Amino acid sequence: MLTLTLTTTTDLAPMLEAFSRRARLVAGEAPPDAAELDDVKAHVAKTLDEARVAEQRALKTRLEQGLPRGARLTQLSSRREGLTLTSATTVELDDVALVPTLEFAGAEGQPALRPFSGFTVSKEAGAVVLKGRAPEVPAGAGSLSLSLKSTVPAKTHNASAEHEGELTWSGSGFEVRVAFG
Amino acid sequence: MPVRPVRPRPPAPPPAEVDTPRPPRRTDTPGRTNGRDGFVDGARTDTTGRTARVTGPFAELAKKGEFQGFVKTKSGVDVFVSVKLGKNPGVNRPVVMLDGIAARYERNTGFENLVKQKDQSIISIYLPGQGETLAKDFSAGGRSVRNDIQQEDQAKAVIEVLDALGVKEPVGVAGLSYGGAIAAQAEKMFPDRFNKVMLVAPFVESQGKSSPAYGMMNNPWNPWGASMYRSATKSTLERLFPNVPTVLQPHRGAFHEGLFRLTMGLEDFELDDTVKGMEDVHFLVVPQDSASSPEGNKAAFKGARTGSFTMAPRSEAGNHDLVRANGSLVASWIADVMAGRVKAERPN
Repeated sequence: MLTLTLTTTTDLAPMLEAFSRRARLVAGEAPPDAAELDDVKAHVAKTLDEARVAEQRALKTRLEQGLPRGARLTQLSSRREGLTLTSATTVELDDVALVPTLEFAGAEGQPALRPFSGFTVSKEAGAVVLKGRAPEVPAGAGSLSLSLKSTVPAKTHNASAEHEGELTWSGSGFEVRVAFG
Repeated sequence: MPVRPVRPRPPAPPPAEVDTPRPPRRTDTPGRTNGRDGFVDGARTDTTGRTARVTGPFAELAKKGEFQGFVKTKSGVDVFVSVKLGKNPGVNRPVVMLDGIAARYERNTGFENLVKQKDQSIISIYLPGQGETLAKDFSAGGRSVRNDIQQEDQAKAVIEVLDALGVKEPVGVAGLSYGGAIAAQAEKMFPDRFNKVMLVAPFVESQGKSSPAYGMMNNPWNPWGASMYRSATKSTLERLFPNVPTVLQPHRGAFHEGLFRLTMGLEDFELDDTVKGMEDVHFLVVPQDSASSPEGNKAAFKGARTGSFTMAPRSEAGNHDLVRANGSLVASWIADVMAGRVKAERPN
């Protein structure tokens, strides 16, 4: 059995500032000053908290319904500090071969998210090898990390950290390579 | 950004083509229903003081006279329209005007008069999600804002309004900012219905998309991303616009819901893709416009087949809402493009 935790961290503040300036201009109004921007950010932070609570159950149900057989959602969490959002999603898989097929169902009308599209599972020299590359994160946008724990110990890996058998990769577009056996 | 108010002089009534002088056309009062010709309600006036037998490709529009009110489209939507007629309205090829995202009639009426003063007929369309059209829809349940309002649907609404007005011949289409995106989309989808496209500081692409964080909100490792992005966008709009336009004040929440649905509906729009290969597409761009970058416009123009690229004077730097900042300039430019005084050439 394999446990995978996907973590993302994003600071929304620069995007909201740029969006706010432009939204005012396109509506034919003067761009917001610093005090107005602070007010907008405080309001957005409050409503994000409400939205996260409101969304939690529906999102959990949607993701569970979209998972392949042999995959279970064991954690779906998010937290906010200022306008920095951190999400953590943990999935338990019966078989490492399920990793490339993992899908998170999209909202109505939206395509499903395929976090490990492009990952492969193969047999090499008697070991089962999981290989792939994390999505690229634009500079200054945030960070990604992947934690992996398996009941079958890893023979070799290229994780940037290992703690009590849990392997962790962090950054953007990082290569993942683990051989189990 | 300081926006100078435009205070046009009242237009002088232009002469019209007249065969037989008749008594002045009556003015219908708002709220009156007329099922005969697609008009739901509104106010009509005859610009000439006389009614005449009108001929020409736009005779049907000319016969309706000047009009401010709702037309019912084939899809059953009541769309608020303002028609102002130039000289010889039966042969005066109209320009469809699509204002910015916060469009409503009272904001645009001064500009309409400026265009009319150029002897150019103008049909202003207040699209679903905007102004009077939104107010009417909201009072009937708000069907138009239950989902994001896609540019394709807005383009169809433009065509359905023209159909309802009896305008089948090609017309010009002009748009400011959000309206520029819809004008370009309308030409892309219905090229036979338009002879010229005029884009004034048009929407280039989603602001969110141009931000690095957008990639994280749509990252496949972040199942929360899409809903958080939408929530942040909606609450930002709510806070940014505390002053609700008069027409939408009786309809609590309508203005912000409209802004949100219109904004999200353009998430996938990219100006360069839309105008690629387009003919007779004319750009009027504002220097230092952070909401419609001159560079983005230039890149889009280079993909067009023919058209023109005009930079507004430096004195208008940063004035994204050029229609309100210098309506005379925009009206003159539209009249020049429609009259062929601005040549459509291959981009360099």
